[in-house]
Amino acid sequence: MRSLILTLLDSMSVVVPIFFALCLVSLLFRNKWPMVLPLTLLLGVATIVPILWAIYISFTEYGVFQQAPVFSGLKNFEEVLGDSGFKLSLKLTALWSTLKTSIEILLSFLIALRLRKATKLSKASLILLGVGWFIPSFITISGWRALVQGYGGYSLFNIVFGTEIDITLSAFQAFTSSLFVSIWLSLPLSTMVILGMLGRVSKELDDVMKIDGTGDIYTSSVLLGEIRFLLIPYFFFQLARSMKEFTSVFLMTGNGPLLPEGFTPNTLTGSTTFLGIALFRKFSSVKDYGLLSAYAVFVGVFSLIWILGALLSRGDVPKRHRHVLFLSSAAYILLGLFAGFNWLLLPVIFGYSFLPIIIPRFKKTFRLLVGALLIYEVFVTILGVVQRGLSGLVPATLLSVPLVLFSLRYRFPIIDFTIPGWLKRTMIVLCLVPTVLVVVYILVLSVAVDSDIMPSLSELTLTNFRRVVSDGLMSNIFNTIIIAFWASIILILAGIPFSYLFSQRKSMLVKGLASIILFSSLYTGMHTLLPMYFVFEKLGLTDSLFGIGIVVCIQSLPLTIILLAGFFSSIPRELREVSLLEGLSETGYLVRILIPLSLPVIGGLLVYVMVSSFNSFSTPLILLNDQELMPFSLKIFSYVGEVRSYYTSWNLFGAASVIGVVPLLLFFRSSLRLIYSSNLRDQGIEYD
Amino acid sequence: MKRFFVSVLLTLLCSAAFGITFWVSWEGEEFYRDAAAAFKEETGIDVEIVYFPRIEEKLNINLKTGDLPDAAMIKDTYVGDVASSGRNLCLALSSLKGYPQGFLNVYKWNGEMSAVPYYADCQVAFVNLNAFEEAGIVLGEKLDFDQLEAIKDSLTGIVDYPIAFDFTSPYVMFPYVSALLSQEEQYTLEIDTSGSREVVSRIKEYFDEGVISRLERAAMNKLFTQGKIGIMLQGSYMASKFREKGPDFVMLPFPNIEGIEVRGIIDSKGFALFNGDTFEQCMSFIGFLNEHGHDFFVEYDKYPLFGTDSHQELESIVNQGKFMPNFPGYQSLLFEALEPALQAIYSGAMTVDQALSGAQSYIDSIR
Repeated sequence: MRSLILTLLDSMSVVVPIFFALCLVSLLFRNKWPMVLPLTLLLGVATIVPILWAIYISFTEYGVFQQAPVFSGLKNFEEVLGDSGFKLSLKLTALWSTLKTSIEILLSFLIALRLRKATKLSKASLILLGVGWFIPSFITISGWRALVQGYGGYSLFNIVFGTEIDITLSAFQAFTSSLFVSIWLSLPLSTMVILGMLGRVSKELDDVMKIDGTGDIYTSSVLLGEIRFLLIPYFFFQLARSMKEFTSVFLMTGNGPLLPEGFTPNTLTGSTTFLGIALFRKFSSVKDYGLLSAYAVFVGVFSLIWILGALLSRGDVPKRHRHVLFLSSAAYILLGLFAGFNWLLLPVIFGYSFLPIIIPRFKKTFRLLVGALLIYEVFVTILGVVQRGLSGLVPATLLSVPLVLFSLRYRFPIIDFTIPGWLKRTMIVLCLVPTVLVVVYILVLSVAVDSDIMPSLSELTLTNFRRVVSDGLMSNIFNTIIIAFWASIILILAGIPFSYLFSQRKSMLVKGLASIILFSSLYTGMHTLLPMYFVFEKLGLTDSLFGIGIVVCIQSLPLTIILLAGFFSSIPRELREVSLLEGLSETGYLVRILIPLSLPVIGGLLVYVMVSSFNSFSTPLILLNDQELMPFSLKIFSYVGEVRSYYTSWNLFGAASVIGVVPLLLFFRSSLRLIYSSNLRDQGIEYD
Repeated sequence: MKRFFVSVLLTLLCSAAFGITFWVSWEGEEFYRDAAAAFKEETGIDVEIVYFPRIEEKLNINLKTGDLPDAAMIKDTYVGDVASSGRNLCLALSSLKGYPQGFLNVYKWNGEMSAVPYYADCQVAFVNLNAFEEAGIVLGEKLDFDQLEAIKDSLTGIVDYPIAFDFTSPYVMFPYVSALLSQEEQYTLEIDTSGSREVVSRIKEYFDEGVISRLERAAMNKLFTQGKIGIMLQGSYMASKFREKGPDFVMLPFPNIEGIEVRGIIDSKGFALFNGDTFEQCMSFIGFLNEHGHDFFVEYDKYPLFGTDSHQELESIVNQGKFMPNFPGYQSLLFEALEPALQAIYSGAMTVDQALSGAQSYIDSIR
């Protein structure tokens, strides 16, 4: 207890009392606007200043070995505009993230449908699925790589399936294997989130469908309709996030083998050189914060288009149709100007720009014409790819098509049928098999005598556990739990109230802050760590676990806002009006009505924060200098050694991972009560 | 003499009040902690050891912010970055007496000594002695590619992979790519020369003809410990692992290529110092590490750079090796350009000329 208090006190900086004072102010006032204050403080500290600084240095040359930035005007931006490899990377990223997100959401939805009943088996399956996410990605992905790639293509996978996969030599195989691993890593979070969304479906609806004897396809379609206002923004948000995917792809395939058109003078584009990897490579070769910042501005703007798609897809018709078509048109123009214009798509741009005018009067014609344009743009893009390969791909089509389809919601005839139970069970088992394999693999690693990525089963030992514990691993885990604690507190006190304000969509301030949060999640990176360090140092937040907690929480905010704001907006306004009439304040309404109703979603978010705290690497590496404060992530990476040197202590790494997974599992298990909480259904509130 | 000892003692006593901080990385965390404890017992100076994985990522930020320890362990290839920041102490050569000149030069940047050399790993050919003995092959002091075909024939049936290395690894291939480059060409990162093309083409032929097997480095380590490889090219840092488990082996310099001399890369570490007030204490601790590091150097197969003969097996290899240029970003740029080029050559997607020329264009555009 004493050490807990000391550690907490050690985390104190001037920001801590101010933050809690602002939280208190927001609780005491009957008005809702003070709720924005705590988050504004933290955003100012950890996001706004670093972003402004990074935008400023994008107009400078600022090498890591240079003492001060030197103004260079638009030189960095010109370099980005002239970088054909980077343009290719954008196209590749758009393709990959569309495939990844579509498969991820589809699979997660199907799994969530299967696991939505709170049975012991469902909970156990969800825990098992979650384990793959809890284990540090370095170890799981290295395991996948060993399985698929083995000895330079001579692998267990190739032997069993008779294939000849070599991800270092085949561009296509690298692309698909990185896709598979990324989807697998994303399934637990998305399944949990969708389970939370399905928590709002009233029990009566299930009963009605049961009485009507609806088949699986029709049931899925009805449930999809019930959660679409949450699921569609989430889809676009995940799409935007995967535009900056880095860790899983980098560890699995790195750049990937060069594409035929990838040997460009500025950026070497392999089949998995997605934007996140291109930025990393750019920084490691050029080591210039200014140039990196300019590249990041472009990536931020690209991703922002997708984020806008997420936000606009929440709107009401006909405003939503207008916004979505204008955004698609703008995406064609902006991305076309950057990556190359396809003149055949000009009718689409004009059509999407002017068709919204006819919405009120000629609804049917409008839908028909938009449908025709949709088919035309798909045709033109496919033609481009057939003729010119990847260079012919139009990234805007990959945004426009789902956006317009989800907005207009064309009704396709459903052929209803019921999938046999054994097939559904097989699907769940197939989704869980990779996780089981990985869990077994990590367990074997943790008890292996030799520190090899392909351990021998002949000799096993428990000394690895003793060794990592004697190395002080428990205090590292304790530090990480403190970080997760702070991040969760901040999320509850600042993130949830802000999401409530955002769900009401009234204030420019709230909209502005939300835009900053969403933009920062896609713009920040290595180039914003330096200004953040300066700010944190001035405020006493370096060598502070609270400081790390702020960063972890801020990184979780976009997901929080997208999910919670969508959820809050789905709750009928009458409920708020009645509550206020009954004498509740805005804060009271949030705390006593909304939060209990949102527990399934909040439960998922808290698990996300906890996992992010355990995985956070760069932030603690940069902000902590005190050995006593080192978290779990830095400790286990000390067993990894240098990535390409291959002196990694895999057995110690495995043992540390197994121990590190325990608190996550315990937390996840207890949070299942939230995820499966039945407040909504029991109270039988009607929403639509 | 008495006065000297008294002054040293006084310095040590004064410094004990605040202690010093060392940031370390790579292998040997436990050794540094034990050494710090022993050092404190002996001198009263408190040394805080902070271990960072990916220390360069950390230093990239802290060299800017100035929030630095008293000393940090760095690679020789990072010396240019540290010195360019202007945050480190420039060391007088008089404080580094006893260090061989060749090793001191590696830690110089713009004529200034920027760090204290500590230890080195180097690229070696690991030779499986058990397999060679069984095949009755007599081993010379240095191998050449033109012997490999005969060795392969002799070892076939005894091991699964007579000769193996990863053609697509820029780390392993750089000594060959640069074998015919002048020192100036190496410094200016010229890899698309007739010499480079010739050497790379010749090596590729050995792979095409099946004399050498391409295995990734992680796989090679595993197979070598199982005695399934005859010769492989790898870093000497793996020797300690092979000694724990694996066949009898010997380390030789990287093989020459048909009479062309090849010099393996020496990959060394040193300490950059950042605080003038604790200079004496830091040097004292580094001296202590040197004096008490014999077991560490032997256990981890490190070659000490302060002029002792702790590791004789590596000595001749180090003497035949070369250091990489240490200006900022050299190694990362080189590896980034070379890896995809080598992959493209190996897979047959590009000719040697096309790939090296593409890699060179990329280097030129970044430089």
